[in-house]
Amino acid sequence: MTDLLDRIRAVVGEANVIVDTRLEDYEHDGTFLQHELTAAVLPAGTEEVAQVVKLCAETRTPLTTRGAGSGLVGGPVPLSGGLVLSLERLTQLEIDAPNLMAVAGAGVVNGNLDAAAAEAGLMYPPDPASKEISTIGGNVACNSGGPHCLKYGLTADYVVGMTVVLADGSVLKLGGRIRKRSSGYRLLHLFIGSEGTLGIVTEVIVKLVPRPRHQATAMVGFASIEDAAAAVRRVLHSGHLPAALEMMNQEALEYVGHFLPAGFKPGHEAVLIIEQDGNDREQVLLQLAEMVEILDGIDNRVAQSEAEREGIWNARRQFGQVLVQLRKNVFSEDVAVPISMIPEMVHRFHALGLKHGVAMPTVAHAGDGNLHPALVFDEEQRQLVGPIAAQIFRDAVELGGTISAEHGLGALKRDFAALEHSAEEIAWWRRLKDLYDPLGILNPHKIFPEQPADDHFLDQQPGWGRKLASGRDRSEVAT
Amino acid sequence: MDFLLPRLADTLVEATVSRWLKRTGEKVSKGEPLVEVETDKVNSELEAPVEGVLSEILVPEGETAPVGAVLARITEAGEAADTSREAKAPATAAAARGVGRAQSEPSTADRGDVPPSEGGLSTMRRRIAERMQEARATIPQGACVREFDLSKLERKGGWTAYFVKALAMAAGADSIGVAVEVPEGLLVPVVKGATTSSTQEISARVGDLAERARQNRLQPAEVSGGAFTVTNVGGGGALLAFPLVNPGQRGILAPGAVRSDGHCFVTFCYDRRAYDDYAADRLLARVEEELARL
Repeated sequence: MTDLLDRIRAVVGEANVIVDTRLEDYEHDGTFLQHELTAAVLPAGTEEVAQVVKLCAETRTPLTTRGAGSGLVGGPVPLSGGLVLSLERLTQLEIDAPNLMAVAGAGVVNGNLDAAAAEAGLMYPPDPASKEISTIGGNVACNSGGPHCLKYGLTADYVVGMTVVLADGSVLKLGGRIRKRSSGYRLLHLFIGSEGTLGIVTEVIVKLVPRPRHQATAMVGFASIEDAAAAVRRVLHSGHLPAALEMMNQEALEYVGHFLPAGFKPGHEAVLIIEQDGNDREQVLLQLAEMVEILDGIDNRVAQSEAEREGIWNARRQFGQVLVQLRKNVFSEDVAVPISMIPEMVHRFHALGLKHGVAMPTVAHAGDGNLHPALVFDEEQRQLVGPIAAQIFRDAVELGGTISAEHGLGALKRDFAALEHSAEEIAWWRRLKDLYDPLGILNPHKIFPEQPADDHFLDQQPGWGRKLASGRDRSEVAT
Repeated sequence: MDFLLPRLADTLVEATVSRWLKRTGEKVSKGEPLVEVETDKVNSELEAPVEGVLSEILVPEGETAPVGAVLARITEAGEAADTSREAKAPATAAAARGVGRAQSEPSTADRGDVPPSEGGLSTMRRRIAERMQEARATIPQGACVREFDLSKLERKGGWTAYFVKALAMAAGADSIGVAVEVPEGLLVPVVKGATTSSTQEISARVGDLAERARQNRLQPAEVSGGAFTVTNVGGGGALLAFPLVNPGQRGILAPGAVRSDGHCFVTFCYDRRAYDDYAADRLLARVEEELARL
């Protein structure tokens, strides 16, 4: 045990191998999942990562890579124990303004990357709600999205190059500072969304786009989810591409309504938040006004100042935080369905919630068909959560959707992978996994199904029902 | 100063003095082995905590004392003879004798009934019997068996280390006990750091622990803390065995003898509160997958 750690200490330095009480921080992510580990290792760069991986390969030591630990499916929870490789020190960042590119270490926080791009008049659009804490490495591992992905695309649409350490400790450099490439396999896309199971991405080259100077945002109320969903379809067929198009149901508004600027009424069955961006202020406002008209709600408010605009977004972003602070347990989901199926999916949530007596506030990236229902439950309702979550997965797949739009499968959803993907497809995944990680040391027990995909899938997950000192459990909070 | 029986392990309640290494009146130096004690799990040498003279032995060889009992007194170097000692001694001696009685009448509350015919067993045998009875009585046990194909595994050294490593990887368990046969019974020293060690390192550690187990030189910390046990019953040629789960552990893995075709039966016995039948079988399947990668 100490032999390996001593060899690793010689690589990364004594202070960067954590074995004391701080280890607890590396046992979990943003979910209830938790598993003990031997040590957390904090390398300084690609070369150190490569040496650590090589030592782990020699000793067959399981290695779980971690960014900020804000994941929502247990991805960085070290289910085989062993080492957690935290890339938090890989924070070097270069903004290559002439080429509209950024080169970022895996540990660069998403919001810091975007802020640095902004100084050059540029933007890094993928904006998960966790953008102020989550790292670009974690975003790549989960192919993260966010509200502005409707117009601008996901993490995968921006990564054009990467440095990846393979399971034997060798270093592979892929791509470069170019926006188009049609030569050969796009190997780098294999690592995006692979949740640290195929290799360890230590650095990425991402595209930046011109930063629009102006945004305008409005909130539009509807008498029903159907009306809101119909409005989404209408606006997307009108020749407009909004920068964001978010939905919240009434239950969600009850939690965050007080964050809204004065005069924004939260008492609707559903609201849409719609945003437009561009360089000409008048034009942006005009386009937004046109879109609001097309949405044709029963009530609408256009933000009249940057403060009001920020207030609307704050209400939307605070949803996850408010749930965390409740004296209740929360379990939140991340399904996506074809846009036309949004009303049907929301109805099914509602019926499920009524049937089981569980509140299910829901927010959605409506333009992407990506829905985040949150189960808010009392301790005595805990046994209902597995059956409800499993039914949500089955419904999403039945409607032609996915069980995870932007969080990944990790440990929490791995058992349901076969619901969405054919046995043949998972067999190809397995071949890839065996090819890239023949020793099975990279993030074990993730992505591939291990337990039956049934109503009891949560019962075998380590940490489910474990109490925190505060009396509530660590629960998943999506956004 | 009073020399007390320390709590050598979390579950330890008593120990038997097997041999005093110093006589009354003899000088002892700090850290010098003073007495050998025998517990249910391990035989240990206790060291003198201070320098001085062994002035009195209160628990003679062959007697059993509870944790915290005064085994002996040491007059520290430079310390004046304790004049109050005579006054206290009878009470302590009586306590020590009380301890002796406790040994022949094990408390049924803590340890369950032991058949009277086992009265002549060594402490270790007696405690093994008690623990196995406790395991049988308190753990709802299940078992499953798979046939492993190990013909492609390039093995260096004994099989045990391979099963320890594969189980550690499959179950996410870092500390795994290994059953070792010793003349007085069976000991289960624990391999720590199994996830972060190579099979060669584990093999060396198993060899060292087994060797010291046979020489009664295990430290108490080395026999506690395992989440599972591996008992290589195949080493003696057995094809199958159904061992009992050790109290406090989740399961026990028993690989049978590897046959000439490179196959063997592997039994996993488990606590049903930790695994249902299907989950246990999946873990066993996972152990085979992990072995294939070693």
